[in-house]
Amino acid sequence: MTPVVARYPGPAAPDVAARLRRLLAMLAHLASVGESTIDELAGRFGMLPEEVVAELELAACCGLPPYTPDELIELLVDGDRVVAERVGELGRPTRLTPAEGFAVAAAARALLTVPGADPTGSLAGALAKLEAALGKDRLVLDIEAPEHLAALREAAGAGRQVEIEYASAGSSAGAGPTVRRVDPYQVVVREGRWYLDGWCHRAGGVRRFQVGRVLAVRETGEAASPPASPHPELDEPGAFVGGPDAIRARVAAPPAVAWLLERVAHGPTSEGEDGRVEATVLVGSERWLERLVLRLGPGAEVLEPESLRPVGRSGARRALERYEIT
Amino acid sequence: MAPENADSGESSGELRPDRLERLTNLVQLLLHTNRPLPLREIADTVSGYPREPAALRQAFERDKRVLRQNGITLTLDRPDGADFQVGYRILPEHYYLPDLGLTAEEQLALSFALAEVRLEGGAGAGDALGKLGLPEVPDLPPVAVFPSLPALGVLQEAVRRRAPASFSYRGRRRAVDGYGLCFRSGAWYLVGRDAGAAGGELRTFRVDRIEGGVSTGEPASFEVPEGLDLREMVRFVPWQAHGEEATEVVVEVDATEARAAAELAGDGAVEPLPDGAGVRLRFKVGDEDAFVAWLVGLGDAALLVSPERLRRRVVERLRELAGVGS
Repeated sequence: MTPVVARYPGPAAPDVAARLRRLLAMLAHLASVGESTIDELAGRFGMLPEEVVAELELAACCGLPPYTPDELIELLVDGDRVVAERVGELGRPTRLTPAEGFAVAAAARALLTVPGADPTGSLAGALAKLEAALGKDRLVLDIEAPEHLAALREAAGAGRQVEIEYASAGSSAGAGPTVRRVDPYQVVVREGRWYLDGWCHRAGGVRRFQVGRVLAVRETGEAASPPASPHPELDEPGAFVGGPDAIRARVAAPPAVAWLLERVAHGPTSEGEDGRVEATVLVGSERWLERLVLRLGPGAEVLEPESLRPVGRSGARRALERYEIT
Repeated sequence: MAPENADSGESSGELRPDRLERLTNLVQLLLHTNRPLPLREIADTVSGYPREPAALRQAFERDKRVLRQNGITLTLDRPDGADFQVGYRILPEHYYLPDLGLTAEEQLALSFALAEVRLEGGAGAGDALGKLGLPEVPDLPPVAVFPSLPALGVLQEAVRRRAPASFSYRGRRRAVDGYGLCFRSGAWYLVGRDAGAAGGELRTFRVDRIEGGVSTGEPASFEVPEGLDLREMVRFVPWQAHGEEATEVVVEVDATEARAAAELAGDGAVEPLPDGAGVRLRFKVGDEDAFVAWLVGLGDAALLVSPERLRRRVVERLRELAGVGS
């Protein structure tokens, strides 16, 4: 075996809890497969090859009292090859950590909630066995089921171009839905809402559409040729692709409606000097911001940008007109 | 004896044995033993513990914390015949993943679920794949993306084991019997009963508003009420109020907002307007103030048809927001 001097350097080193988790996982894995390679282990456990060697060296010094050679974990490292000779107590996988248990249950529940999922298939069977062993997960994910979801998922999955009629939330007053030819890239549910990501021929760029706002779908009969790789923004958490006019605005509201502002806030809210709650929001359209301010009610206003300060007032005026003519 | 360094200190000295070694030996010893081991005996057996009692106690507490972070719980028990001394061990059933008996299809289904559902931030899948013996599947485009939070794993574990969860929320310490976790409208909620609150009413807690960590109490401490509908608990209905007279309202909503409004209106009658101009909704309202605030927030996309009394209040509020004298 190669002597290893190097320990993890610097602040980026994982803490001892993470190292223990990794080592226990690695030993259980080695015991079950019997033999592996340093590279395979490094890839599987997200480590550098030299880290794998260092941790295995350490493990080979561990064991049971009286810590004589025949009571120690025995691993054979020969070049790149690793053979588990004796792992003992640590040769079987540990219970799932809370985080792992949550991740597995959430992923399975989410897929089962997707419209069209088979409630009696293998995934449901797996989940039932997990629940039998670990306790009921009582996890509910609310996922919308928009009318045209199935058609869009099918087209995206098969790589076919679609033409959609779209009621944009950002369309200006009086403007009706638009018809757009889209090469789908993917149909994804994000935070409970379905989106179609694709190349929009009308906009000449990648756009994200809310499937719930799609009024009609027609396949054009042509193959989709979406961009080879997704728009980088599309994969970011909470990505918001609102076109070139997506901007940030600062909104203030009375404390009584702070809970409402929190729902849409991008990042944490703060308290202003006048006692009101302030938050930054991402604005896809003026119309959306206008309705937010109206919803927040008297005492709420847009602080920045200057150009959007009057949206609440003008929105209220437009709404009033409807009452005055009816 | 020099005081031990904190969790990150194990990499600093060349001479000090790596703390991971101590932890690995500790786990093996406590798994292997068939009687509870007093701390003194543990320290005499596993190398790397300080001699001085207070320092030893501290070091051991830190090790216990690391084990707990990995989901490994120690059992505290009185050894046979000992009157005063307590000892520690790890019960195999608390350590090893139980055999779930997953079929190959079920394992594959879980692999796909973990590949197709992304949890962003917080609890990750960790080594769940390895522990459950799941096959690796190729990179797949996501079907669903959800935000995750570090607290979710612990809360989920508390729900599964029916252990009270204790945390700080809106400046107050809570002890909550968690009945379930629900994701809705972009946020995770814990549904449960706050034992400390007067009346112990069913409540929802936004998980991302929990302040600091979550600790859990004794398992199997409570029963989940029969027939509890988690989804219904976190349904956001702004005008819902219990114990108040309900008012029937009629609202016309434009096509762009029709779906969301109809969802909120629930079982009330929904009737399409001619020419696809939207829907006419008829439903009951408990909290009139909340209803008026919500309706005004739809701006010119909604029109309150009746009753006249509330119509006057809507106009009044719009006038205030429009800055028009009444």
